[in-house]
Amino acid sequence: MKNQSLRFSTMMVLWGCYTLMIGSFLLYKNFNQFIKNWGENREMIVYLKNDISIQELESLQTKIKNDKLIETTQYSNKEKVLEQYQGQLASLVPGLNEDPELMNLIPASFELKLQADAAPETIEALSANFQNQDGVEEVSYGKEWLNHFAVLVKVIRTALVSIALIIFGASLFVISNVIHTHVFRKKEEIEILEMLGAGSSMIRFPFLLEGALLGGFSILGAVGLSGFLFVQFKEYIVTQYPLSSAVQSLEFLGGVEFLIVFLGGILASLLSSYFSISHLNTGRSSLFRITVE
Amino acid sequence: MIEFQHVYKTYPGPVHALKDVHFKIAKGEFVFLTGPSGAGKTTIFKMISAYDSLSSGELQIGDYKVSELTTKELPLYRRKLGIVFQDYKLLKNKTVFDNISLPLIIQKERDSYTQRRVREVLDQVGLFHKKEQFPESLSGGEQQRVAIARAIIHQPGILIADEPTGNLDPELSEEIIDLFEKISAQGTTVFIATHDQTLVKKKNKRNIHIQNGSLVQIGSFVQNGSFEAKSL
Repeated sequence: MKNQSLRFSTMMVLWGCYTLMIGSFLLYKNFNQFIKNWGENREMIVYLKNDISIQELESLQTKIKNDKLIETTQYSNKEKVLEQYQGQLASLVPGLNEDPELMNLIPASFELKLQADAAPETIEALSANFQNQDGVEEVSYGKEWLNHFAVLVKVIRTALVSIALIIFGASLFVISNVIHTHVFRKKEEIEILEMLGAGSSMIRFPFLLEGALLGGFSILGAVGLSGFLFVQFKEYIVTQYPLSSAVQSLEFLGGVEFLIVFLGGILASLLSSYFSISHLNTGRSSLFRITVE
Repeated sequence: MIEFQHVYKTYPGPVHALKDVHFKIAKGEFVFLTGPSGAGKTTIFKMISAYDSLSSGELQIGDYKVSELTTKELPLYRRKLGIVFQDYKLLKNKTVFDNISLPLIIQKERDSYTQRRVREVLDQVGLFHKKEQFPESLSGGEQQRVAIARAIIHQPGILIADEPTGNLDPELSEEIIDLFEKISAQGTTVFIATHDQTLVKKKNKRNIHIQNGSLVQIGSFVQNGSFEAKSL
C-alpha cells in the first residue's frame, strides 16, 4: 500500500514535469510555425531599366535561376504591369488609359519569392548583388520592416528557448530527484539482496523497469493532459479571433514528435533510475551498523 | 574455515577498529565472539562478509582471500555465506515463504527444489504454519527464525550472526542458540557475536573476546562457569 502510494506520487510529479516540458515545446514550435507562415510572404522586386538589353535581361534571369535563396520568380513586362494598373486604376483616374507617358513611367520587374528562413543579411547581400547588375534600376525588399522583424523574432525566440531550457532543466532535476528518492527508499531492500549474493543485473533490472514504466505512463499522461489543454486553448482562441490564419495553424505534437517525446520521457526516467541505483548498488553498502560507545 | 592473519583496520581519523587480529575457526566449529559495544565485533563481520576492506593483514574464508575479491566475484562469494542480523533484515513486502526462498531464487535454483528446500527449513525452524504470513505479523523470535531459515536455506559453509538474540528475551535467546547448534552439527561453521555473557557461559563453546579492536582472550567457559583460556 505504501509502495503504491509512493509510486503514485512519483508518477504525479513526473506527469506534471513532463506536461510543463511538452507545453514549453509546443509554445516554441507554434511560435516558429507562426514566424514561418509570416515569413512566407518575403518578397523582393527587381525593377528593370527601360533600356535594358536582351543580353542584360538574360544574364539577370540566369542569375535569378541559379540563386538558391529564391523560391519562385515571376517576370512582369511593361505591358503586363500597365494592363494591371489600368484595370485597377482606370475607374479612379479618368483619362489614365489615354496618357502616352504612362508606358515610360512603369518599369518591367522580377517578383522574387524568397525562402522563409533567409537571414536579413543574406537578403541584403542578394539585393546589393542585383543592384550592381547592369539593367537593374532598383531593388525593393522592405529593408526596414525586415530588419525590425528579424530583431523581434530573435528576441522572442531567445526568450522562448531560455524559458524552455529553464523548464527542461528544472523538470529533469525534479525527475531525477523524485526517482532518486523513490529508489533510495528501497536502499535496505537493495542491501539485503546484495547480502544474499544477488548480482548487479538482478538488483538493477526491476528498478530500471519500474523507472521506464513510470516514465512511460507519466509521459503518456502528460501528452494526454497537454493535448486536452491545447484543444481547449485553440477553441478559445478560434472563438476570440476567428479570422486569424495564425490561430488556424496552431499545431499539437506530430507523429514523429510524439515518438521523440515518448522515448525521451522514458529515457529521462530510465537514466535517473540507472544513476540512482548505480549509486546505491555498489556491493559495499553494509547492513552492519557499527556501534561506538 | 575462517582465518584472520594479523588483520588491521583503520578508519579515517584515524580510528583503529582492529589491531593485529589473529585467529582461526575450523570448518563446522561453533564460536562466540564477545566484547563490549565498539570493541570491533561488527568490524570483524564486515570484513568476513566483504563489506569493508582490510588495512593490512590477510583474511581467508574457505577458498577465498577476501582482500583479492573482485566486484564480479563478490556476489558469488556472498552466496557461500549465511548472515543473520539483530534486526532480522527481512523484506516486509514478502511473505515468510518468499523471504526464505530468496537465496535460492538468486542462485537460480529450480522451482521444485526451492519449494522443497523452503519446506524443509521451515520445518527445521518450526514455522511451516506461518509460511504465508508477512514478517510484521510475526513475533521477534519468529522473525529471527525466518532470518535464520533464509541464512541456511542455501546450505552455506559459514554462518555469521551479529547479536542475533539482542532483541529477544532469555528463553527465546536460548531457543535461537539451540537452533544454531543444530545447524553447526550439520557441518556449518557458526560464528556468533553477542553481548550476552550468561548465554555464552551456559554453552561450552569456544569464545573469542575482543576489546578496543584487539583480541584479549580465546578460550571457552567450562561447565563450572570458569573460563579456560587458550593461547592467542
